[in-house]
Amino acid sequence: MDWTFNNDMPIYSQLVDKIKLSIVSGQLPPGEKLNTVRELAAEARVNPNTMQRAFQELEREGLVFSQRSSGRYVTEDMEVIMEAKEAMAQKYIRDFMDSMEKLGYTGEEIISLVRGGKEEDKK
Amino acid sequence: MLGKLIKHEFKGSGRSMVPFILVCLGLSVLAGLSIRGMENLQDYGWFTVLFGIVIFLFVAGLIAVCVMALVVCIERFRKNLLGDEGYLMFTLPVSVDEHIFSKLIVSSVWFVATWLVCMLAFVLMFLCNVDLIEVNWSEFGYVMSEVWGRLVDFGLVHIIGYILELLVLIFAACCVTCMQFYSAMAIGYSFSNHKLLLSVVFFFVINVALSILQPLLLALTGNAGLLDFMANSAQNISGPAAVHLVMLGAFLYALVFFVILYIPTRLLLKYRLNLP
Amino acid sequence: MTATFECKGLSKNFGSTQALEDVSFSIAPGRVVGLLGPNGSGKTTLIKLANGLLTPSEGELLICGGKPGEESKAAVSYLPDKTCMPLWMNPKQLMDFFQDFYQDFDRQRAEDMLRRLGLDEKQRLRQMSKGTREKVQLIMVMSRKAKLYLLDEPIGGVDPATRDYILDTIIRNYDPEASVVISTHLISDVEKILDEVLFINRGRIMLQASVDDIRQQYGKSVDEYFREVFKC
Repeated sequence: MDWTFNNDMPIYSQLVDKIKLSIVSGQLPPGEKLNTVRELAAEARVNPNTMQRAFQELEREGLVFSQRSSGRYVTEDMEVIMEAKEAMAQKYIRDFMDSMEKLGYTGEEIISLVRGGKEEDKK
Repeated sequence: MLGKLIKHEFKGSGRSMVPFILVCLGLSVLAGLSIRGMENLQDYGWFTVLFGIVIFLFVAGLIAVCVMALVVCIERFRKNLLGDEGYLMFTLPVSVDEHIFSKLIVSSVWFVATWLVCMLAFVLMFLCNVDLIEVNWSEFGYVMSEVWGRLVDFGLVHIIGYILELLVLIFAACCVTCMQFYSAMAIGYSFSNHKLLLSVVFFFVINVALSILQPLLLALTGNAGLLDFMANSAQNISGPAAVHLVMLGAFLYALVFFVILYIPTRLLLKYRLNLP
Repeated sequence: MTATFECKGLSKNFGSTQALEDVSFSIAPGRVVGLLGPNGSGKTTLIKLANGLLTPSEGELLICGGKPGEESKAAVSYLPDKTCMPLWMNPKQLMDFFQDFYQDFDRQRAEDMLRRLGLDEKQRLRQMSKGTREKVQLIMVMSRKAKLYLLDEPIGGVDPATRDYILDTIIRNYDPEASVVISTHLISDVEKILDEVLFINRGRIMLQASVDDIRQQYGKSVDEYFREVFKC
């Protein structure tokens, strides 16, 4: 995982986003056992309390669950994962649309531009 | 913890002291052999020069050991407690008293050790210079048994007591001497600038103050009747016992000076520590 | 839970200069706290007070609920901002020394760290470079299982690789019952490993806040926020 961080957001929420991305993209498959908070904190070079907070957030969203003795796992509930994936996709689209609108494009123009871009890619 | 501090203090100071002591003892043997050589080989001028140098080195070595003991006493306190190493030492879970006593005890041991080494060096030199075969052993034995008899007559208990008291007294005197240096440095190093210079100044100030205090203290104890008491007791008790009493008096005297120097040193190190 | 490090109205003056003025804060166990401030702001004075190397002029300072003394010293692991280990010693002798005086010293951990950094146990500190000495010193300090670690400028004079190693060591040794206080002015390097920051300037605490709260509230890193607050 890439552990670089932006300056304008809390570190824990950036950790949530990174782990979430790994889960929805399948990099961390459903049911996979996760490393301990301590190991992950060391890997990401962040404070263990911050990593803990990120996992609490992910647990709240239902993407991971912890079993008292054996550790933390990625959820096996595909519905939750797909929901998270969709939410992320929506957010990316919103950000993208915002940027395009700032450039002066309207909704239809953007769609045709994207379609054109896709066609280009295919050739 | 005091024991551990003393152990590490011996490690820290032994590094400087032990090599000097060994060189000194080695030189004493060489010097003994040289003197002997000079007596036997008077024709060889070249050897005479060599022997002369060895004997000179021996004397220089003895002086060096004595100076070294003093330098070690001062430098261990100055560098280990008042220099950068002070950050390590004063954050150990150890009291200020234990710090001071560990330094005092180890320094005093080295002072006594140098004293013993000097004596041993002369004995070694002498032994190297005597033909043991030529010694009249029966006469030697006779003299020794005569001396032993005299000691037994006097009272062995007293003799052993004197030796022990003398050792304690020497030890106390060493401690007072060390404390003069320690207190001067504790004062000097509590300032922000010119620490070393101020330490030297305060060392002389303390010395002058003590030499004023000395007759004052004697006069005071005299007035308080202590000397009279001692003189009276001396009439009532035997001669050997009176000597014990004098030793005790001298020890108490040293103790007073020790306390006078110790208290401010302790307070300064505890509350006015000013590490670089 | 008793705070590992607490100040109540703490002041310290040297003659007429006021080094610390009415400082009050509290650090809970398990927290990694950055003590951030410009040069000469009172960071080192505060840390020296906590180690009992200085005596407060006014107010109170508590380590795990007690005043600085022999007991607190056994619970505090202190990294000064300079080399304080005797230069004639080698790491092996230093480990003997720490083992004798600190019951919480973990020799195995120290030996592992020395080996991992490729340091020779038999080489005297005098023959080491300044950076290497600092590494050895840090290894000794971090090999204790203390209740409070006070690290004064631990990343000041070292190269970036060592800086990363030091920060990794702090994270790896994280203990939920112990607190770590890191004094530094190199904020961007340590920001990620901190829970909270204490901003100190001219002997006064300006702010105690969590790193993520600052980021959330101001939309910028603690480093950027610090620069803004302390703009010359």
